[in-house]
Amino acid sequence: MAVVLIRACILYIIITFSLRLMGKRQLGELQPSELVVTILISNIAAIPVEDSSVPMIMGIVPILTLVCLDVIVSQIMLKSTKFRKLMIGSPRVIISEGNIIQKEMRRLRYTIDDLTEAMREQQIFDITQVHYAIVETNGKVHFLLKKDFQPAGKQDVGAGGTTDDPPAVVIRDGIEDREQLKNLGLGHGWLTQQLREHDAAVGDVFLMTADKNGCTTIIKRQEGM
Amino acid sequence: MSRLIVSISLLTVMAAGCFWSVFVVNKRTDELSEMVSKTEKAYMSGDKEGCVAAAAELQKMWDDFVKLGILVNDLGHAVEITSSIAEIGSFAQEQDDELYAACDRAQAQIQLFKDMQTPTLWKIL
Repeated sequence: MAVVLIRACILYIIITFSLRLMGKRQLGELQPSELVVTILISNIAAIPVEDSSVPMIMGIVPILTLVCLDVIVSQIMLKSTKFRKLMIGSPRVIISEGNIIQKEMRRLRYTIDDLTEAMREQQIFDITQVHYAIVETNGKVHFLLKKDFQPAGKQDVGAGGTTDDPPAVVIRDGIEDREQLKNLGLGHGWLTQQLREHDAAVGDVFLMTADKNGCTTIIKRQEGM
Repeated sequence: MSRLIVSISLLTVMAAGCFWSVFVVNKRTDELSEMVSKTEKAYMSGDKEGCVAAAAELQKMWDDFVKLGILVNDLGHAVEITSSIAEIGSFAQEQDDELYAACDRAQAQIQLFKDMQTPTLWKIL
């Protein structure tokens, strides 16, 4: 039993490292090649854990090989459009200028039920509102509504406004994040001054956020915490 | 880019390790096979001392090799060879004719162990 336990721990570390190596994209939306790798990894990892007569290296080598190949293939896809098309295909338009392209839907084996379901997922209940629909390479469908049905933006109502960056955390749990301060174009001196104004030291702050304009929010630590 | 470098490095190390293991397994299994033949020949020629010494040497060689062997091959195969080699040792001591069968069995098992590692087309397919 101890062997199984140790093997499981080692495989956990290796799989976590492998997924990290594959990148964050892996955890979100899977492309076909990534889906294959993920399914294979889970199956391969189970073998040496279940059967202790199988050497663990028989699990580790294929897992790392698949992940390394996936990273290499991803890099090649970045460089070559042709290779990318070959590996993951290309997005397909299924509604253009309000017209359903039935030939394309048949080619994608995409039923009208799939289309209406995808619409409902995006709170669209009337197909006549859709101007344009595209099936992405990961199978997701994105819709562009006709102008009349698009929600009004600030520009439409003449409200203007700027696109400010969201505030970033500069102190978390009493620890200063110098990198965030640098990203915001603010220095340690500015931070010290802000804290002095609020009569607080870095260690007293539970959370402090700031934006590029220097607007801050400070939440002090509660007593005894 | 660092991911690519890590991946290529890992893949290179693994490929090198895999082919090195094939080379080592081939070399060591050939040596084992030779030692089994030597034991059998010594028995056939009636050289009891030579036969026992060769069987002991065979046992030692296998004990040294098995540590690597079980890293790259199924434990079941290694267990089979371990028991066959142990039999050769005791048959050599007792000067039992069963030694011939034990040697043949060990030869076949060693050959299988070697074949399991060699990447031939039919095995890959």
